Parts: sequence; C-alpha cells; structure tokens
Amino acid sequence: MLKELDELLLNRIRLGVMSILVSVKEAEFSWIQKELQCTSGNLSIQLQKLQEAGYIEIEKKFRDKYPLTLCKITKKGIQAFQKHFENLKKYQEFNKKK
Amino acid sequence: METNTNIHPEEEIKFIQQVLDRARNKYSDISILFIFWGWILVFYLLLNGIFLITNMKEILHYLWLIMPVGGIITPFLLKKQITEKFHSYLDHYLKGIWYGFLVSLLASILILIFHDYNLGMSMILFNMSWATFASGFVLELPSMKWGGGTGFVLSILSFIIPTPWKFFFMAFSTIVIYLIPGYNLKTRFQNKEKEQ
Repeated sequence: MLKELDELLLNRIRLGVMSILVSVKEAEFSWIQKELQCTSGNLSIQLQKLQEAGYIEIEKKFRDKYPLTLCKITKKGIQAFQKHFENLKKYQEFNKKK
Repeated sequence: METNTNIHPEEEIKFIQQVLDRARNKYSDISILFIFWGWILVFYLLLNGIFLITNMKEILHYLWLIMPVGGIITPFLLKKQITEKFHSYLDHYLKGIWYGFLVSLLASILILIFHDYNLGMSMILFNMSWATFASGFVLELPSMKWGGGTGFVLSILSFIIPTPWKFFFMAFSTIVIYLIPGYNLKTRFQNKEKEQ
C-alpha cells in the first residue's frame, strides 16, 4: 500500500507546496515560505525537486528591480497530487479495516 | 530523514486540508474599485442632474472629463493587488468578469453617443449590475449579489424615467450597485485580516 504513494510527496514541505499551488493560480516564493513557515534554503531545495519532477514551473523575474520567484503547478503536478490524495484516502481505509 | 515512510494518512490528509482551506479562499481586495468608481459616478450623475435643472449646460461639456481622469487613477489604486504575492483562481475569474465589463461598457457608451442616449444610459447601468452580480457569485458575497440583482431591475426602470431625473435615479442606483457592496466587501476583508 505504501508503495503506491508518491515518494516525492511524502515530504511535508513538498506536500505543502503542492497543496498551496493546487489552490492558487500562482504564488511567490516568499508567500509560500510564509504559509509553510520553513526556511528559504529548505524551500528552495524542495521546489527544485518538484520542478525536476515536472510537478511545478518556476519563473524568475524582476519587479521594481527586486528578484521575484513565481511558482505554478503543472498539469502533471495536479494529476500527481490528486493521485497521491486518493491513495492516502485508500491507505486510510485500509488502516481502518486492519 | 528527508522522506517520511512512517505514514499516518489521517495526519497527511488533515495537513493537506488545512493548507487548502487557508489558500483557497484568498483573493485580492477589490473593494477600492467599487468605492472609488461608486463615488465618482454618484458625484458625476448628481452634478449632471443639478446642472441640467439649473440650466448650466455649458459646464456639462466638461463634466464628462471626470471619467477618463478616474480611468487614469484606477491602475494606481490597484497597485497593491497587482503586486500581491499570489494570484488566486478567484482573482483570475474576477479579472475576466471586469475585462468583459469594460468591453460591454465601451459598447454602451458608443450606443449612448451615436445612437440612443436613453438606451445607452440604461445599458451602462445594466452592465454595472451584471458585473457586480457575477462578482458576488465568485466572492460569495450576498450584498454584491443583491446589489447586482437589484441593479437589473433599476436599469430597466431607468429607461422610463425622464431626464434630468434619470441622473438622480442613476446616482441612487450606483449607491445600491457599487457603494453598498463595496463597503461590505471592504468590511469583510478587514474582518478576515483581523482573524489572521
């Protein structure tokens, strides 16, 4: 049962990022960090892993000469998140029956 | 250990739900638009009516300039919303509604200028109503749904009201369609920020 869960989303920060991005169209790095209350270093690493897996897109630009990192979930990311959530629910049902 | 294999699905599901609930209902505060344009329109319409009654028609040639000035100021009022650190789906839908409003408003103004003044005025009121009504549905704000819904009726009634009384009627309608929902939205936003 455990094997069906997405390993990438078994990390709280990554799961939190995906949960946020599935509800908003796009979000800035600093806002995600504030919502998840994690360090910027840790968040950067987790975002990179999600990007490498194709779950999110990261756009770097400037606003008023300040760097800006915008994150957006991809279709692949939405599907992966949905599948992970459904599998968590199945796992929950399985545990209840045990 | 980076990846937790000791999974408690209930906790994971609860965590997802908490994050989703916090993020899902976020949207930018657009009450400033309703309040700003509400007051501009009320001011413009009342002055129009007064100048017509007092026969000061020369001033009316210049009064309409309030509108483009309001248009220039509007992007500055929205600067906070444009630079917000997230863009929710609610923001996305609201943008669509108000861009649609601008297009239909332009059509109404062209009808007002080139075809039928009476019809154009009523159409402007109707456009204000549908955009407010649709925004009320997106934001789940009853005062906006009621304001927009009442506006539909007022826009039909405005067609039969003669000038210059039409301007006073439209000023009243603007209070119902824009100002009351705008202040209500502002209060809701302030209460939400206090809770957080």
